[in-house]
Amino acid sequence: CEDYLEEEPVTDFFTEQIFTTESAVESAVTGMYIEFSSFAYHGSGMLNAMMPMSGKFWSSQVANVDATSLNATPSNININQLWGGMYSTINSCNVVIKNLEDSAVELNNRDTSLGQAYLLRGITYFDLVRLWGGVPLKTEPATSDNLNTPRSTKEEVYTQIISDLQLAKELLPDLGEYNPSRPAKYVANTYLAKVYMQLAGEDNGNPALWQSAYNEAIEVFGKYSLVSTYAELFDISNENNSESMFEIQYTSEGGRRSSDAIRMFNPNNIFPNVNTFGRIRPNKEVFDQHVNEYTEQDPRVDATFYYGSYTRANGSSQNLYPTITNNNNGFACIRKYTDPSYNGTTTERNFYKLRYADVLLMLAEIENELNGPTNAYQYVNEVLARARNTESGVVAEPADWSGMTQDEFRMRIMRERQYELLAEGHSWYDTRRRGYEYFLDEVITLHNTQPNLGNRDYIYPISVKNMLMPIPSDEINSNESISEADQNPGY
Amino acid sequence: QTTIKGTVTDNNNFPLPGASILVKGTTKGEITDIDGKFDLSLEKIPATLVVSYIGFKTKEIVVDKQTELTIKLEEDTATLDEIVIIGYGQVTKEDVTGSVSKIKPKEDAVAQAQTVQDLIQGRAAGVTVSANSFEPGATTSIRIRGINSLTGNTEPLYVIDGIIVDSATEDVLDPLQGGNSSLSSQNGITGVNPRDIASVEILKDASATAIYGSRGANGVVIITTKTGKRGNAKFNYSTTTRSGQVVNEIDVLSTGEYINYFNDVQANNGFSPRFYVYPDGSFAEFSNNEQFMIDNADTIPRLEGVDWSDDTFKSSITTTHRLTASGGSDTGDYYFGLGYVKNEGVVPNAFTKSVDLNIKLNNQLNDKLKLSTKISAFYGDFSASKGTEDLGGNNNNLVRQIISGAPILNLSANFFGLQDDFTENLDGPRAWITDYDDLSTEIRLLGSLGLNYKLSDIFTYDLRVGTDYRNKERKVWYGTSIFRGANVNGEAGIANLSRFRYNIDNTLRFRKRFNKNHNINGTVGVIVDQRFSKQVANTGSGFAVKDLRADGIGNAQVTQPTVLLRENESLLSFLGRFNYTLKNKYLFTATYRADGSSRFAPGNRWGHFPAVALAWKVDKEKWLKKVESLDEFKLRLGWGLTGNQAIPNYRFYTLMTGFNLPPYGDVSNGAQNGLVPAFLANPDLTWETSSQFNAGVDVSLWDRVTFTGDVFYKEVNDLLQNRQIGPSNGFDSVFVNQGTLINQGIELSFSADVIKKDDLNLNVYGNISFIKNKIQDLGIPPAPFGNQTYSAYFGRRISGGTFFKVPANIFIEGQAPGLFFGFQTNGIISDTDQLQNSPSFQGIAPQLGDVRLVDQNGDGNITDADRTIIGDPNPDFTFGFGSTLEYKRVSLSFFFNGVYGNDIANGNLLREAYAGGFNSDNIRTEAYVNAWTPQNPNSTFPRVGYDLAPNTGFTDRIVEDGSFLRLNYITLGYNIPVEDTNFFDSAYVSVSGQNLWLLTNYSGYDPEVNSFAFDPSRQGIDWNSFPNQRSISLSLNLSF
Repeated sequence: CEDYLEEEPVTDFFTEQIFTTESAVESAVTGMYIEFSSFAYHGSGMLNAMMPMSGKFWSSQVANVDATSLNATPSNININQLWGGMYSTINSCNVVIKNLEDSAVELNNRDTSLGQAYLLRGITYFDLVRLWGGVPLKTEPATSDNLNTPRSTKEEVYTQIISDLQLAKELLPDLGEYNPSRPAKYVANTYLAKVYMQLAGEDNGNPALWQSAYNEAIEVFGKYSLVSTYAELFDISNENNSESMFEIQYTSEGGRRSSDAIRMFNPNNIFPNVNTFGRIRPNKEVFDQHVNEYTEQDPRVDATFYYGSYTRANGSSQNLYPTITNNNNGFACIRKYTDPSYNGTTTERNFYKLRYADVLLMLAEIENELNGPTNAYQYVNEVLARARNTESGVVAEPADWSGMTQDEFRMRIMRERQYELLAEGHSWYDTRRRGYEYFLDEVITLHNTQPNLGNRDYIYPISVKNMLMPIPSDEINSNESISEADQNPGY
Repeated sequence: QTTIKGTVTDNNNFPLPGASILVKGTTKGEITDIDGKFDLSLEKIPATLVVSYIGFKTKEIVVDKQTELTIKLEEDTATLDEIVIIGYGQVTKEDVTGSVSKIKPKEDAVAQAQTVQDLIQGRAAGVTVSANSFEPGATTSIRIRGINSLTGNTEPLYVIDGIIVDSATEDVLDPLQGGNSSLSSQNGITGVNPRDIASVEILKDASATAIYGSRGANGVVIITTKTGKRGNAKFNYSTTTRSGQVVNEIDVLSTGEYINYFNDVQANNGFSPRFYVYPDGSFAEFSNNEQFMIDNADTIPRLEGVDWSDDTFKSSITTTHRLTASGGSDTGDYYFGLGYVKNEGVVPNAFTKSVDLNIKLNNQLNDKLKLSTKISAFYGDFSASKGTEDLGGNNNNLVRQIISGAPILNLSANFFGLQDDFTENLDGPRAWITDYDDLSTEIRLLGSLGLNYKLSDIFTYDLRVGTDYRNKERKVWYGTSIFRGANVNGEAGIANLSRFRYNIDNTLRFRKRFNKNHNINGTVGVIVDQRFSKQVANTGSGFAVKDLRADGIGNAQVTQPTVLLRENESLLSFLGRFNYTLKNKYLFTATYRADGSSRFAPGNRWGHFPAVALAWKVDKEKWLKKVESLDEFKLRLGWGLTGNQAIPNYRFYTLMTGFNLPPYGDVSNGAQNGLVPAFLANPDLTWETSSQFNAGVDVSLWDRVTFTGDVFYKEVNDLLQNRQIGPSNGFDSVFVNQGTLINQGIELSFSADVIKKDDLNLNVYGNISFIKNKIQDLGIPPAPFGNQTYSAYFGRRISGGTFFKVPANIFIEGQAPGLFFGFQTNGIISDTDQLQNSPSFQGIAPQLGDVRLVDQNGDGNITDADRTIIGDPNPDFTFGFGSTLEYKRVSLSFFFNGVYGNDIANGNLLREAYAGGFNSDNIRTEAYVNAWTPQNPNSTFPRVGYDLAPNTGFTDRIVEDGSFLRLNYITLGYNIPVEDTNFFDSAYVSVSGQNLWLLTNYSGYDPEVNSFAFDPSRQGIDWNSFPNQRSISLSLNLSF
C-alpha cells in the first residue's frame, strides 16, 4: 500500500533529472541569470535600495524615505528585497555548481555552465561584500539541516570571490565561442581587476594590489571597442553592441515583470497609456557637477538626463530641474532607460552590468596609481574622444586630458566615472572604495552644501554607517547565527 | 386493578435499564430497573402502554389479559436529538466519552445564519469563529481550543454527511500575484445551506478526534443534514429578507476641517497653503499667492466637498428563499431542498448570489441492505469590492479610500489613474466601484453513496463513498482609473480551481451484549482518501479597448504564461474503535488510527494515533439513584494523540521549477526559459502530533438543567512550521518540525429551562471558555530581541507597503504565541524638559509634539533594539449566552457573544491617527483636533506634520483592547394559527435584529476581526477591514 502513497510532483522537475542532459543544464544556467536579473536584484531591488543610498540619487518612494535620507533602517523593504534577491542568485549558482561537479554524466556544456555559475556567484558576492562587508558565505546549495550561517570576515568573502572569478576565467569561453548574449572570460578578468582595485582602495593603495588589478585589466584591453557615439549606447535598437561586455538581457516576452527601470527612471506620463513613476532621480549636485565640469556642454549630458523640461505623452509640458527646484520635478531625470513601446510590465531594455568604457577608465585609474598620469591619459582620452563624437559631428568638450598631477588625475578619474557611467549601478561602489574621507567630501558635504536644496531634499547625516548598508532585519530576525550585535556600525 | 410485570429489551434480547413505560392518557408510569424489568399496576384494562427509550423507537402495547410482557424495542438511528455523531459511528448522548459539542440549530438561529460558521459562532465552548472581513463571501476562520499549530492551517476538518470536504483555506490562485498585493482569500466551505442542517457536532478532545487521526488535530466539525421522516410528504417554505447599514463608521475630518488640516501641514513646513477658502465658503486649490486667488476669484474653479462614507455605503439587502420536501415510508425516506440566496452588501459591487439543491434519500433495499444517497449541488456568484489586502496603500483598497481619501470631489490627490482618463466619476472610492472587479463563480457538487449491510446481529458492514467536486473561477479587473491598472493600461487576471476529492470508507461495525453487565461495540475500517487539484491562472495587461473587462483577457497586449499547478495527494488509513460498557455505568472507549500521507517521505509517512477514554455514569450508582432530580451525572476522562500534516504537497522533494519566472532575453530579443530551485526541501518532515488530556462532567437535573464542563491540557509536539529563515539561504522560509505548543483551558456550558409549562417556556443557555496557549519549546537558540534575549522568531511582516512594513507578532518560547512586539510609547513630548530627556529615533532628533518612544536600553537612540512586548492577541476568555422565551404563540430569543482580554493591532491607525500630512490622506478627527500644539501641550496625539509613523512601524499606540460584548441577534417570532386552514401545518413569522448593540472600546470598524485569519504568523491584526453592519430581518416559515 506504500505505492498508493507515492505522489510525485506533476508540474515541477526533480533536480537530479535536470543535470543529466545538456539542454536541461542550459535551462538551469538560464535560471541563474533569471535570478541575477530578477525584480529583487537588478530589476528593482538594486535600483531602489542602492541608488538612493549611494548619496547621488533621490527617490520619491515614501516607503524608502529612510534610505533616501541616508538613515536607512534594517527593515527597509528595498534593502531586504535586494539581499534576498542576491542570495537567491547565489543559491541557484550553488545548485548548478554542486550538481555539475557531482555529476558523472559527460556533458559538452559542463565547463561553460560551471564558468558562468562561478562568474555570477563571484560577482554577486562582490556586490554583497561591497554593500554589507563580511556576509554569510554559502557555497553549497541550501539544505534544511544547515540553515544558519554566521557572517564571514570580509577577507574570507574576498578569498571566495577571487577563487570563483579565477575559476570562471579558466572555464568561460573566449569571445565568439558561445552564446553572444552571455559574458565571455574577459568579464571575469575585469571583475578580478575591480576586486583588486577595491582592495587597493581599502588597503591605502598597496601597489601590489594595483599591479594585480593591472594584470587582469590589461588582458581585456583591445578585446572590445567603444561604439562611435555615447547616445547610441542607450538606443534600444543598439543593444549588445561592440562595447557591451555583460548586458543583463531583458525581454518583453513572457509577460512577467523583471526590469522595473523604465518605470523607475522615466518621468511621469511620458509614454502613452502607461504610468511611469520617475521615482529615482539624480541629485541636483550630480547634474550640476557634470554641467559645470566642461565649459561647453558635454554631449553626454543630453544623453544622460531629462532636464529643464520634458513633454508628456498628451503634449503638455512639465518643468524639471534646473528650471524648478521644488517638489519631485525639482530634480532632473535619467534618460538612459527609455522604451517608447513600454507596456507597463515588461521591456526589452537591457542593463549594462559591464561595458568597455568602464575597463578603459579602470586602466586609466590603475596606471595613474602605479606610474602616474603619463601613460594613463591614453585610456581616459579614448573614452573622452568618443564622448565628443555626435551624430552631427565632433564637438569641443569633453576635451582630452593632459598635464595633471597624480592626485589631480585621481580625483578627476573618479568624477569622470560618474559622468560616463551614471545610473549604471556604479555610484555606490565608486563613492565608498576610496575611503570614508573621500565619501564625506564627495557625497555628504557636496550634497549638503549645494545651493539649490528644494523642499524634497534631505540633509544627509554625517555618519560612518553609510559606508555600508544595514544587515536586513529579515536576516537578523531569522538567522540564528546573526544577532543585532552583529549589525553594521551605526545601525 | 391489575398488576403487570414486564421486561424491556433491545433487538438482541438484552435488557434496557431506564426505559420509560407510561400508561397512555394518564400520568402514571414506571422506569425499568437495571435488569430492564418493571412492575406496574393498572386501574383498568384494556390499557395502552407507551414504552420509550433513548435511541430506540417508541412502541405502544395494548394490555388486555396479559400479566407478563416482553417488550422488544427497535433502535432508531433517526432520532438525532439524542444521537451524537462521533465519526465513523454514532452513540447515544449519554454514552459519549469524549468532549463533543452538539449544536442543533433552531429556527431563530437558522434564520440569521448565512453560513455554517454563523451557526457555530458563540454556540460552543472553546470554539472561536472570526472573520477576516465582513464583506459578503469573505472567509471565516474557526479555531477549536485555541491555536493548535503554527502552520498555515489551524482550521478544523469538516465532514458533511460522511464526506470529507477540503479545508476552509482552499481557494483559487491569486491570478495577479506578485508585487506586494494579494487578493483576500474567500470562504472554502460552501455548498451547505444552514437550513438543511440537522445538527453540527464539534469534536474537541483527542479521544473524540483521534478516529480522524491526521485530520483531527485542529478538531472536527461534523455536519449532518436533515433526512425525511416517515409519513406523508411535508413541505416547508421559508424566506428571509434582511436589510443592514454600516455601523461604527470611522470619524474622519469633514471637508472644512480637512482644508484647515492641510493648510496647517503646509504652514508648518513653511509652504504656501494647499487650499484657499473664499468669504462665501467656497474653496479652491491655492496657487501663486493670496492676491492672485482674490483677483481671479471669478475664474478659479471651485472644489466640491464629499463625505466618502455617505457617498459609498448604501443599505444592504439579503433575500433568501428555501423550499424543502420530505417524507418517508417503511422502506425509505427522502429530503429535497432547493434554495436561493441573494446578498447585496453595503457597497454597490459587493454581493453574493447562490442557488443550491440538496437531495438525501435512504432506502431499505431488503431486510439487511440499506442504501443512503446524498447529492448536493451549489452554484454561487460572488463579487468582492474591497481590493487587494497586502499592500495597504491609499490607492489599492476601497475601504482605505473611503477613510483616507481626501473628502473633496475631483481632487487630483484622490486620482491614481492615468492622467488622460480623469473623469469626475472615477476618483476616490468611486474608481473602485466602477473600475474594479473581483468576480467569482463557484460550482460545488457533494455526493455520497452509502451501503449498509447487516451481516448478522453482531456485524454490520458499511461502505461509503463520498465525493466533493469544486470548480471556482475568480476574475479580477483593474481599469485605468486605478493605479495598478493605469500602470499597465488595464490589467486582467482569471484563475480557476478545479478540484476533486473522494473518500472511500470501509468499516465493519460490531456490537454484542454478553449479558446485562457487558456490552461491547466497535468499528474497524480502512479509509482511502485522494485529492486531485488543478489550478490555472492567466494574466494579461495592456488593453486598447477595455469594455470587456476581465473577459477581454484574450485581447491583452502583454500576456503572462499560463500558470498551471497540478497536485495529487493521498491518504491511507486504518482505524479501529472499541467501546466497552460495564453495567451501563462504566464506559470505556479505545481508538486507534494509522495514517499514511503522501506529503511525507517514505519512512516518515506513517503516523499512529491511539486514544482512550473512560466515562462513569455516576447517576446510575445505587447511592445516587434515589436522587430523583438527577437525570444524568457523568464523569469523563480521556487521552489521545492526533496528527497534523497541514503543509503543502511535495515538500520533501528537491525540485526545480520554471513557475512564475520571467524568461531571460538573448541578443535577438528572444526569450529563454530557465529553471531555478523551487523551494527549500526538508526530507525529514513528518507528522506534527498532539497529545491531549481531557476531563469532563455532564450533569442534567430535573429534566431542565444541563451542564457540561471540560478541562483540557494539550501538548503539540514536532510543530510543523513554515519557519522564517535567513534569506541568505536563498529562500526565506522552510517547513520544519520544530517546537512544542501547550494549550490548556476550561470550557463550561449550561442550559436551563427556567420555566417549563404548556404555554410558557423560558430557556437560558450559555458557554464560556478560558484558553491559555503557551509556546513550550521552539528549538531555536536564544538571541537578542529588543533588549531581551529570547528563543523566538518573528511572524510575517504585515504589509509590503509604506505603513506597517514590519512584523507585528513574535513567537517567544515560554510565552503565548503571537505576542505583539514593537515600540512602547509614553505619550507626547509636551515640553522642553521632556524634549531633553527624549531619545532620538534612529539618529533623528525628536521635536516637541513628537510621540515619545520609550528607550528600553537607555542609549538615547531608538533602534530596533528598543522594541519590546506591547500586547497579546490571545483572549482571556470567550463566551456566548442567550435565552428563548415562549408564551403561547409568541417567542422571543436573543443571543450575545463576546471576547475578553485580547489586543488588536489596528494597523489602520498608522494612516488614520497621525496628522502626518501623508499623501493627502484624510485622518480621524481626533488626530487633528487633539494634535499637540504649543497651546495644547497635554494632548494625546502628536503634532501636525509628525511623519515618523511609517518608520516607527509598530508602536503600542496602535494596539487596542479587542474585548467586546455583542447582541448578536434578537428575534421576535409568532406562530400564526393555521390549524383551521386544512392546508398549513404551521406558519411562523419572525422579525430579528442583528448586531443591534456592541459594547467595546475598540476604535476600528469591528473588534471581531482577524485580517489574516488563515495566517498564524500574522495574528490579531486589523488591516483595512471591511465594516460590519447592523441589520433587521423579516422571516416567514411555512409548513404544509
